[in-house]
Amino acid sequence: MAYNVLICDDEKDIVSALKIYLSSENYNTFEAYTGKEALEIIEKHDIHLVLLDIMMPEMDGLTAMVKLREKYNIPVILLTAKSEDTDKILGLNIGADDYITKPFNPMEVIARVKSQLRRYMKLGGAAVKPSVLTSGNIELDDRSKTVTVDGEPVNLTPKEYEILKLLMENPGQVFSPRDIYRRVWNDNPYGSEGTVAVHIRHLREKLEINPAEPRYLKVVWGQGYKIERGEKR
Amino acid sequence: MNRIIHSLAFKVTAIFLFVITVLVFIAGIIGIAVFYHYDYYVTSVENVKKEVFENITREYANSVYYRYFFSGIYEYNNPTDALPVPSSNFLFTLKNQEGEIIFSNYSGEDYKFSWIFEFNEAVYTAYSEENTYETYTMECYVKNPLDTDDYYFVMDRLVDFTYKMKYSIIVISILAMAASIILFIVLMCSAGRRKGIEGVMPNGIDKIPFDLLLGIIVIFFVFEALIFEEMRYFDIIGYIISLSIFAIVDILLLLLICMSFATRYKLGGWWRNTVIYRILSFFGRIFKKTADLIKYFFRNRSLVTRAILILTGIMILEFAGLCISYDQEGLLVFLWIIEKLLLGSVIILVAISLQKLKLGGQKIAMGDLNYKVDTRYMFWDFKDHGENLNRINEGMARAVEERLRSERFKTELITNVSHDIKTPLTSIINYVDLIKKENIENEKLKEYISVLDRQSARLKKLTEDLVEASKASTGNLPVNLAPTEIGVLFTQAAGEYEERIKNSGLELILNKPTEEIYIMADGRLLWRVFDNLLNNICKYAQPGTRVYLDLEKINGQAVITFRNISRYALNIPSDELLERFVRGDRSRNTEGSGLGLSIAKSLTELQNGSLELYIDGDLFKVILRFNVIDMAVPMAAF
Repeated sequence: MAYNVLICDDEKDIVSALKIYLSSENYNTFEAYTGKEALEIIEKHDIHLVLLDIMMPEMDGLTAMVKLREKYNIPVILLTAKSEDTDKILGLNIGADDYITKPFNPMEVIARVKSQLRRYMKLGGAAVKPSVLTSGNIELDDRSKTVTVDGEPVNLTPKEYEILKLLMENPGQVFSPRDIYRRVWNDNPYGSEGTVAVHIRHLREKLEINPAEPRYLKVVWGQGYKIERGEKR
Repeated sequence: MNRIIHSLAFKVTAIFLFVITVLVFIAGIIGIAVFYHYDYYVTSVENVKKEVFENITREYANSVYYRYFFSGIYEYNNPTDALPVPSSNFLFTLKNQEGEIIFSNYSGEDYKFSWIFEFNEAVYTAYSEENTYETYTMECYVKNPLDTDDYYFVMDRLVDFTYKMKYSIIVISILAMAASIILFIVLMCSAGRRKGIEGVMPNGIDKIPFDLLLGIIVIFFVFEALIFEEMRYFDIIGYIISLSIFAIVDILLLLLICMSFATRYKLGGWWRNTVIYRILSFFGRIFKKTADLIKYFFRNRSLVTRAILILTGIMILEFAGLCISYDQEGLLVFLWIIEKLLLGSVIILVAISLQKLKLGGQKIAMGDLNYKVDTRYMFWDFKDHGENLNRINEGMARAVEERLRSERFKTELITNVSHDIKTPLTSIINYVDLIKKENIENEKLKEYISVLDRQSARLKKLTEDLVEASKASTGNLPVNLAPTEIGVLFTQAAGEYEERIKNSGLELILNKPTEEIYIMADGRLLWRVFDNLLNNICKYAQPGTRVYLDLEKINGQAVITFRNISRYALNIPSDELLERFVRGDRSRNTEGSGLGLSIAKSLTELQNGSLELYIDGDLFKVILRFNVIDMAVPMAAF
């Protein structure tokens, strides 16, 4: 089934570029250039995901999103030139599902669109199995020793798997590299806890769409690592 | 309302009514005084009459007695003729010491009152030095009922009439007083106002100096009193009429003065139009001119000249004092004490001023731009100097504020501009990417596209760094300081950069103590410092060399050192490298914005740390210093 994606940005070139990328992934695209147009299109068509710019004439993206959220539950990814943390937090708090700052890497946009759609369309109401640890869209099944992200299986080495399991069993808790070494390697580190950092980096590259800005596996600089206590949608 | 009050007709009427009410009031007061004198308020009407009649009768009796003795009995065949005023109600019987009737017009009529008066007559005898007295008695009667045509009758009616009025006169007086006060207030309000004209219009009288006007009126009153003195010889009717006329004129004059004063008061500065003020202000001006001249003379001498002049003056005064009092010890001591007290207080004032100026100078030197030197009690050059200091401070404060504002404006400008750049840049990056995906055979074109790709990535990095640099340098960034273990950060940073360092052909060597070292820092910002520095190392270090990352605890400070061998000859001073947009290679051909070190320095300083740069030949060294904090073994117990 081809999903309908609405692209809304006042910059026509960006809209057409995104359209090319999304079409090449077999998505049906709709275009809007103001918040108002976006709302009108959502009323008329069965849209599955919205890419929404914030700074637009007539009605800005945040206002449009608040209006949209009154009726619809579809994923919204904000696209914006504003890169301050406060802007991101504001956007996510008032109902955005994800946030991409300009200038963006088109591949990242595609990956995030895919991720959101998978979650929205396929994993919507899946029941949680007891042997399965979840955090956000990451699932770790301890019986089959498999890990999936947005339903897609991910290949992990045994140590990476052990580290992820340790963190997911204690969501929100910060583990220092030394703790992780002791718990996973069952040995005293004696200066070899540097390996932990390398494993974590690899793990992040496998789990996250943009490893430089991780959504789940977070680095607490100067303290350690943790998995976000993300809620399942 | 105002229209009516200000009309001339109203004013004239009001003045007329005012005069009448005041006259009524005065008359009422006199009446009350008279009534009080005759005991109207404590006795009956008969008693009053008795007292009045007694006075009249005594006068008549005296008159009859003296006329009898001095004019001789023989002239008056009819006793009634002996009365000074014809009166049919006055009856008398004059008896001598032996009780014989010698003179009488009483023949047994009914009488209302009777009195007996005694008269002592000196008798001169030849054989005695002392006078002997003969006593005559006169029995006097007032007829009942009274005949109609004499003084008794008039007084009887008058007392009857006035006795009835004894209370109403008080009411009338009070009413007259109230009315006159109200009229007075209304007249004061309307003084100087004219119908149809806004504001206060003085008339001719209001232009006469006020004290002159008062003087004229006082002279008039004195003159009036003199005339009054003459008038005592007039008869009673003329006396009353002239008294009334004087009273009316006086009331009018006083009213005129009051209204004129009211007009002047409304105009403001009533004291200016007086002779005294004019004279005083004339002398005041002369005095001020002289003082100004002296001041001018002094002001234009130099400080040294002034000091000499003042000291000379003091010496002359001292010498004069000595000359006056050289032979009087008491006076000498007294003058000496006075002089020392005066001089001492001046010197103390000077010392206080100097102290304040010194303090102000210190504060300004230390950068307290809000400090103001208190120049209230200073004088001459001290005041000037203090005010100059204040002006310097104001100027500096303004300059600093302007600088801050321009910095803020710059940050805002940079943020806005980079936001605007990002949108077209997104299109460029996307379309370059799209072109890359097309099947291009042409090798040249492929090469060109890879240049576009690389340069657009660089532009992207540059815009991001620009915003960050401007924010970091102005402190426009939220900083959340928390205890941070640098050892862990070392491990994490090494993990993150392990691959890139290897790819750059470098070897990373970590040196850190086994003990945990905690500092107060914002982990995210500190990571960005490490990120920038390690990024620089990957870009600019000579491949095949070692990179050292050391952590030491020296004098309570955590000292972090990054050391590497530069790929390019570092031919610029280290402090210049910290400037924005400066890079080790001047050709600027390599990737990067030239902002990395500047951002790292700003971020370190935001976390109360310091960043120093050392260049020794090709050795490139960055040293970060933070204050170590004590942590009682947290989390390490795992």
